Amino acid sequence: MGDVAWRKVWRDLALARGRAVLLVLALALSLAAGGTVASTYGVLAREMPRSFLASRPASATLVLEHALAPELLREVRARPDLAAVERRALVRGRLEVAPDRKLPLALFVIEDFAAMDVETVAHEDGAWPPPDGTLLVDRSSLAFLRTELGARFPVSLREAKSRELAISGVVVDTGVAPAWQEQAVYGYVTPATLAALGSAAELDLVKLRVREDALDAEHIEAVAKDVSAWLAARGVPPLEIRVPAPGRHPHQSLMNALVLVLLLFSALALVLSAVLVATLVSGLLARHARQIGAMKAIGATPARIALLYASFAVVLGGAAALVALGPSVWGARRLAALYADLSNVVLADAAVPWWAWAGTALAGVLAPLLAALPPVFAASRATVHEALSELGMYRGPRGAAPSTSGARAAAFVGPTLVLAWRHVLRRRRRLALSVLLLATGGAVFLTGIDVAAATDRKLARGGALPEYDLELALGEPQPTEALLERVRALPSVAYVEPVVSAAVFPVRPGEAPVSHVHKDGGHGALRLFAIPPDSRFAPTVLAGRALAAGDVEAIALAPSEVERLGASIGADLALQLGGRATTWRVVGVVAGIGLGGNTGLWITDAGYARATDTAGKSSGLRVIAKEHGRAGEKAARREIEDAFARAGIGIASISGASWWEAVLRSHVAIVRGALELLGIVLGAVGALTLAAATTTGVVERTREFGVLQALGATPARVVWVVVAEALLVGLVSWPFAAALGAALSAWVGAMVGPIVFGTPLPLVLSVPALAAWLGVTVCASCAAGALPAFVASRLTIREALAHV
Amino acid sequence: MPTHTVRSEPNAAEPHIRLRGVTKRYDTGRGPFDALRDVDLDVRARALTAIVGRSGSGKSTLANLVTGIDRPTKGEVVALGRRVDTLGQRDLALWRGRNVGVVFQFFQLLPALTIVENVVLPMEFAGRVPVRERRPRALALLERVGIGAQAQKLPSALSGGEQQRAAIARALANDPPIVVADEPTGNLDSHNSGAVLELFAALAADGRTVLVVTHERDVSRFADDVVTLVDGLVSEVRTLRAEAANRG
Repeated sequence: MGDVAWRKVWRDLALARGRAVLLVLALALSLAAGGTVASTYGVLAREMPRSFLASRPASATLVLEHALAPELLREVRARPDLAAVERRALVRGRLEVAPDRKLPLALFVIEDFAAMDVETVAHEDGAWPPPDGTLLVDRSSLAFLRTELGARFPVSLREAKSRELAISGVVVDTGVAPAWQEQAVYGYVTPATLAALGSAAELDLVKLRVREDALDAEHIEAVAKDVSAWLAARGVPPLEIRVPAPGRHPHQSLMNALVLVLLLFSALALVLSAVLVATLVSGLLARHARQIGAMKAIGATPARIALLYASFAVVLGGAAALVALGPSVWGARRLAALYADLSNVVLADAAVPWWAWAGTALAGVLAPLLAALPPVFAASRATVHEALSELGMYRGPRGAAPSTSGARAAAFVGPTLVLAWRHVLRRRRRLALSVLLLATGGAVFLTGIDVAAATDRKLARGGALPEYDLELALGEPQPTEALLERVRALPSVAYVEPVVSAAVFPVRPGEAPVSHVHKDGGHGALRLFAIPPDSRFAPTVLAGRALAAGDVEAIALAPSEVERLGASIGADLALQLGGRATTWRVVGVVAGIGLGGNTGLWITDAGYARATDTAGKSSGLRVIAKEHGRAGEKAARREIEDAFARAGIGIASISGASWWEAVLRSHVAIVRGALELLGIVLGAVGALTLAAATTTGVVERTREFGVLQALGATPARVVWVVVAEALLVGLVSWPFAAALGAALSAWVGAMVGPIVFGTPLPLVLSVPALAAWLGVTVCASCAAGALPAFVASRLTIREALAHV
Repeated sequence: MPTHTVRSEPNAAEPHIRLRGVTKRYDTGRGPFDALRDVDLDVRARALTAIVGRSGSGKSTLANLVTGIDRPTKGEVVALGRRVDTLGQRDLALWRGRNVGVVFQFFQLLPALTIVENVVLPMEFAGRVPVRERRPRALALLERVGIGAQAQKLPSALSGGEQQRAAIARALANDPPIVVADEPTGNLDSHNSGAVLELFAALAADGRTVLVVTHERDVSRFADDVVTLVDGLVSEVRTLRAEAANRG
């Protein structure tokens, strides 16, 4: 392309600078949003595994009945296939933050803080190692507790008495999920501190880290089984071998789903923003039709014309990419840091990978170019005659005159609105683009709110939360009838029944039992519930049958466990329970509840007692309070704790419906916040698009406005014609936003629901959100039309009629 | 159908433009309309031919067919030995840029370019004039048409007559052997009209084939040949130069 042709490109852009600036801003906004998400993904994809692996996670954990003897420990350490071997313990208790509020506490007992070489934690503040009688906490726990170094909290373990511990230091543990998400506290103590708490727990965990192939699950399992067999031969058979997914953060799947959703939306934003530029180029082509004809008449080939006008798209896209790059890199660092905090991940390197910002820049240039190619090609192929015949004024509809009813409707609404409506329909492609952009922005915004509403409904309707108000786990099994009697006597309790909750794992005959439990002892665990056959909280049967009185070998599974264990109705299932190998017959598939999937296995209390020799005893209770809600839950909790303390019955943990709800909501909060933010960005992009499109339309019809004014239209009427046009486009987009939002909400609910709730979220369309978006659309559309309308009304008739 | 072929003078050159059996039909809301009907016409080389007739007689259609801006429904259009009506868009654009200078009634100057840049633009498209020579050549052409002082101005700063002169300079940018002008004086006053038509006459005298569609009444002052169209048919072809020579 020659020098003069390039000058035409720059000067034409300068003449349309108002519209060009609007579109560059809109495009840059979309690019920045998309680039931020893509860059954040690049950072997290690199840093999450790195951060997790930097903590030297255990490849496998052997659970023993007692602490491993020092001489055996030395011999295991000497194995060439192991890089590190350490003894640890994980003890569960409760930490009292307020008289009526106790949080679950996971205490990691570390034999030698200075020599940690597996599942390490990084010292951040305060003492290191913790003096005996104090504890270190993970930094997310410190934030969750809203406290500071030196604060003291009563801590109780399985035994009844609680003792105060001071927080002497803060560590960073990238191997656990953040405290606020789990609604639990992580503490790190010495064995002496554990003893001082009155616990008889031993260092019964042996942490292994393989020397090679640390990400090969098969290799790890083989090494762990070999060590297990070696120990068993020396009279120390492990009760359980835990092999979590290697190199995988406990919340990896949730983060992956979230990033995937955001990546898809950001790709959508990029595509739509490219369409923005195509809008301007289309308008430019329409306006320049006669110029194109003149150029072709003086020798320009179709390829030259195409190159000339495609350059507009490249220039606009390049300008937007330049504007967007800085904010997207800045945004990515902030967003990655936020995600890191939310995931308890340490970002060793927050630099955005080169491919992320290069991809953003390339997308900024290529996407508008590709979107603009169809109208550019069409214009370049128009004959000279066609192009020169373009008068720059609307010629009027082709074909039949409006019907009688159409004419009546037109007479009813008046010529101004009729004019606006016909202009809206005049450029159907541009109308489609504006509607699509506005609708997409609205759809994403509505989806964010709908996901929140769906969460509320899911929680309100049950199936996500337990039907009981409290679940207790006792320090030691207690005689069932006495326990029930004691609780029934409490004024705030309406109903109580026994339950046992235990971690189990599958076993194969002749093989050591292997589970996939994470460091925190929760993620990846198989959880078994033993309930009375007439339990009020029995799960819903999906296939097969329910547990019945007399069932002592029957088991029912949640669908995800059926898949995980490869089980089927009628087949036998071997499980390690309470240190024993047991066999059960699968009789049904039932709907489970709980966070992290459709989880759970169910047996009868009689079956459990038989398998564990604990007949007549229970180690857990489920309670319905007389008054539902937080107040009733609190009252019942207080009464039970007081009664049990008086009776010397230790409580290992109490969880209530409000705690479960907090955990679930915290998991959904990230998704919801991200969607609402993205929706606002896309909505702004849509509004800018409409402003640009309306401005383009005004410029195209300048002579027409001159004619209108010559015929007597006041400036106010000219303004109303333009604003009405923008308003009509906005109103047309609203039902599309609602429909697209419904589809997106269903999709997001199907993606996020199973991860958080075990089942898809219900489709909930928030009516207030729809109404709010209608209001936003009306306001944004009027605003979008206001400036070009004002410009149109200020033109003199002479200027307008002389416009070419 | 009456057809007329201009009887050439002894030793006159082959016609630069030849139409044979040319019909142009448009589909309108009221049915098909033949703007030109089975026209045979030879346009003499190195002469100024005026195409005259009432509105709707087919004058502009004929000019569009000669330049390739439009294509005939039937028939052949041959210019400088090439079948213009069968060229593809790309070849047509290149051929036109190098061989035909087009002047429009409404000037059609590009508003974002200065006058001199408007004249340089066809040179860029044709690629024949070396880059360094383009601007000097453009300035020379503008001087020739009498508006050298307006070279750096945008079209909107020029009067109608000046814009039309600029359009003529642009039409000459690649030194085309054929110049076609469609109502070049349609938007000009009488003074400017005369000046523009004199320019065209000078171009013909220089050896170019000039075809001018015009409403001007007194074409005899500048045209060598006059073709009269009536309702899409060639009703008369007069060779004025021969008549003038006879009178002299």
